Amino acid sequence: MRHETAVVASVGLAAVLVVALGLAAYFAWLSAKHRAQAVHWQETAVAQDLALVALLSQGLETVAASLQSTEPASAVFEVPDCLAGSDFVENLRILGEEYVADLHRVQGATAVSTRQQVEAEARESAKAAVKAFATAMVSTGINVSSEVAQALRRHHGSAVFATLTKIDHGVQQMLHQAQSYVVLAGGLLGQRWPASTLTDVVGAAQGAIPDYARVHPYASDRAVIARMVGPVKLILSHLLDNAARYSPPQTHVEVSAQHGHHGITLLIDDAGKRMSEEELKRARRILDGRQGVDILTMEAHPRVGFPVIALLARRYGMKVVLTDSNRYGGMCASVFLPEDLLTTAAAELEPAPRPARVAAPAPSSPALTENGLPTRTSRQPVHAQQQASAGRRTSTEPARPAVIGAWQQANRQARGTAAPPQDRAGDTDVHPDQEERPLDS
Amino acid sequence: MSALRRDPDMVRAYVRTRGHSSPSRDGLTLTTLVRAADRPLHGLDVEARRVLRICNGPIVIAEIASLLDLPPTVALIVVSGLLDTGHLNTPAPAEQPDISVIEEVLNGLRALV
Repeated sequence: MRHETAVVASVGLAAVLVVALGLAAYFAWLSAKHRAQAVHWQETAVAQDLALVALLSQGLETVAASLQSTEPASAVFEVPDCLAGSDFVENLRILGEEYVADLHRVQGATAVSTRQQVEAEARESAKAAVKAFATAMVSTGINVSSEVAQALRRHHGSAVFATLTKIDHGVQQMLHQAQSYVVLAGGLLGQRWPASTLTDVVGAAQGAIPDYARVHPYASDRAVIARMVGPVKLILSHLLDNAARYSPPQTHVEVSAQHGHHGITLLIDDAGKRMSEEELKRARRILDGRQGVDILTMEAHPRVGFPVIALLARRYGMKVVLTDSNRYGGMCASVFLPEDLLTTAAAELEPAPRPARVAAPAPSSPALTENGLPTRTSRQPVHAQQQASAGRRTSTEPARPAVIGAWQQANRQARGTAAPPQDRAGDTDVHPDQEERPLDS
Repeated sequence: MSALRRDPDMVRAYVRTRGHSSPSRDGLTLTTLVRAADRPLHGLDVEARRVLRICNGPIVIAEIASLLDLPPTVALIVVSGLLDTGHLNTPAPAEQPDISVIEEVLNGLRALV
């Protein structure tokens, strides 16, 4: 019994021992395995650190260097062998690529916004420079033309007249150019006119173009209000210049008008080349204001006419339309002037047909001299002379009225009796040619 | 609308003469007397019509220039053009005043001085 018990005990002990040994061996193996794994992980972690450092230092450097070139480069960096092909490296590559892509996107956006900003600033300063220059030219031009106009009155003789008018023609063309650039640069015309008849405005516009003599002028007693005279003149001179420039030299440029209910439409017809479909589209885009002119991208000989016309027309509420193929096969430009920009010219604009000076010598009629009735400046010298002579006549004692009377009588006879004033030119608003060629377009 | 002040130099002189820089005929001076002939105005330009409008009676060219605020040479050129087309003519001087009247005028003028 005791022996059996001992055997059982020893067998149990042995079993326990075996189990313990097995467990010990197992734990020893497990621990060794964990240790090896720890070493492996440590190595991996170090390698990953190295790879990350390599990406940050080398990879990003290559990217930064590649920003100078237009070709986008990917981040290149050394990878430890143990990490080759691992997910970590793959993710690093993706990170690097996204970084490169972001960088390029930001760079592009910055470049665009910088360029826009620089261009806007350049445009503003170019505009300011052009405006300052052109305004100075306009101011000088106005002074010179006023000087020339005075000289034309002061100096007589054909030779002087020819020289002065040549100078004047040049000055007017320069003024026209300078004013166009002032308008393009956003400035004001800087030349003031009184309200003027369309006849005068068309005549003034004519003077600003090289080929003025080919324009068949238009006459109308309707007037343009003061602040519109400059803009209308500039628009017309560009249209007349365009018409004259692109039509054969032996043809005329015709100005006519439609007096409508809402205003007047001036028509400028030439018998010249028609614009091509593309040119016409471009011109219409400019006139509609859909395409402006960039002061920074101007060519050597920029065509500023249509942009100037468009700016002025928009600013002052006019409408300019181009039509191809008019009755002469050329182009027709029309300028619509709404009624509120027009005024009715007073008949006083023109001197009355022969003032009845002989019949009524009393010079100091109050209506003419005192109370601001529209006495024209040119008449003032005449009245002044009359007043002077009248004053002397009354103050000089020995003068015999009979003698003066006889002298006046003789003078009157020499002139003949003044015919009753008849309005010979009452039809001035009919264009000479219109009488035969009614407007049919 | 009230009367408008006109800028006499708005239309430049060379436009008014249509590019002519001298009168088409010699012998015209500012004191030449002209007078409108009865001719139709058809075909005349703006400036010619303006001049004809004030030439109903005899008038010297200087006065035309003064009334229309034209530079004198412009008036000469426009008038000579109108003389060429026959719209204006130079009237023969009316009957001469009696020599005695002129003498009296001369005396009167001397008395004035």
